[in-house]
Amino acid sequence: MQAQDEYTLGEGYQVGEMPIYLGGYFSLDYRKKDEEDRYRVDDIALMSYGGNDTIAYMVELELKEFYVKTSDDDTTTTTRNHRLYIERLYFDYTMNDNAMFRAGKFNSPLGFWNLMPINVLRATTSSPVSTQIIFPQFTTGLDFQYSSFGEGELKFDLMLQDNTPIDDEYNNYDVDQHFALGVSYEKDAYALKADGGFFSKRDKNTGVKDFTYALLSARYEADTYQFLAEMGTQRSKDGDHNYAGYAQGLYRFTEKHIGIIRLESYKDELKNSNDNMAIFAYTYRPLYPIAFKTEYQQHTKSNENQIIFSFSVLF
Amino acid sequence: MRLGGLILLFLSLCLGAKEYAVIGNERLPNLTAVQIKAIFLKKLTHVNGIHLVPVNLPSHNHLRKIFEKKLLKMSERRLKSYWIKQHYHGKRPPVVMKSQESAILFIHNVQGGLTYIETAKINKPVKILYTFKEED
Repeated sequence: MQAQDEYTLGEGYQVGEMPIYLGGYFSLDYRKKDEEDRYRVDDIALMSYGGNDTIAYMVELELKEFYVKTSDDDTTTTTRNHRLYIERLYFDYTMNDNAMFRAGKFNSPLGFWNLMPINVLRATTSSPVSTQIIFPQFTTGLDFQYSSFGEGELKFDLMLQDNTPIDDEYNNYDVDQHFALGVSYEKDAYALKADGGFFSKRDKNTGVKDFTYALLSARYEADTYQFLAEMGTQRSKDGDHNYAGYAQGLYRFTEKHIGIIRLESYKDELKNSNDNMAIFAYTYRPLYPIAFKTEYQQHTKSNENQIIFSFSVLF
Repeated sequence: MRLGGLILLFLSLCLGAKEYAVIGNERLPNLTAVQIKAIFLKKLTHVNGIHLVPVNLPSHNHLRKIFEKKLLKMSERRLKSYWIKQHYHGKRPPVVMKSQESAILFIHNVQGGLTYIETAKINKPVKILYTFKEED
């Protein structure tokens, strides 16, 4: 294993000549709503990964919402959260040419957006609602991956969790069971994905509640533009039915200047909420791992209209 | 005169049509373009049980640009952003060798090594896994 000649921003730092790498990222953002301003140091994360021919590891620790200052007409509140969360912690074992096995806490490999969830890498500062209400963003358990390369790339993911999660606070749902199957096909510029699963959500007030969900995703990626769409539906055992979806177009005017338009819709019966929104965003990347982003969100619920600015770096 | 010019043009095009090859260890099977793309994007890491070590030439190298255009079908900009995204997933870009000669030497010595090269420059017992031309 050779050591890197020099450090490159966004590609991590190699520890000596060992197959161990260090990296991380951070993001700051400002949100302006009609009656509220919010300044936030959102993510400060450190990660390490490495491995050999067949075994690899990833560990990521994060300070989430490290500093938040919120102001409305009457009050200003400041919160600081210095707790270090375990965002990811897993081991990979490559079994053969086609199969790979993952154990630990990992980003649920559902859809496309959920695999690129950090501010600096995603298209906009905000994430679509479909990536927040349909399925658990993280799974603590096993993921069996099978890939085949014929005319294109065909991939299956089988996720199994039947245990208490690692760091249950760092997930959109507190789950102790999650079973899911995903299949994706990628050829040239096209990629399609279908996922479905079941999870049990733990809640201190309401106890355990079971959900099933399905998600369809499509992506077309060219050098100058990208089209991305995801549509998900979720049902609870009690009959609550949620759905959320979005379609997003991204155009790279130049390497550094990127425009994005996203249309979203969702209905969340658990929270008795629904909304449609259009998001107009612009991102400036002086270097790819550095992003200055701005976006304007126009909602059907007018009090949700907002402007967001953010600054994020991957190192 | 016009016919002579055309013949000269034809000959120069024929002579200038360099052939390139993806080469690797003799135990490796012939590969498809889809597999080669997957290997250089580190999506496919083993073939016939052999751990693969793709080797790139420097980013400014003309042959690398041809390879990325013909086989990976991605611009330098997209590849750069691809590898930065892969950093988040714990994957590294292929190792880089300074010249075709050093790349061949690496392939010769490392079981799972594979790289791309001008076919005429092959001077070691390696296997040609795939061939391509600039104007294919």
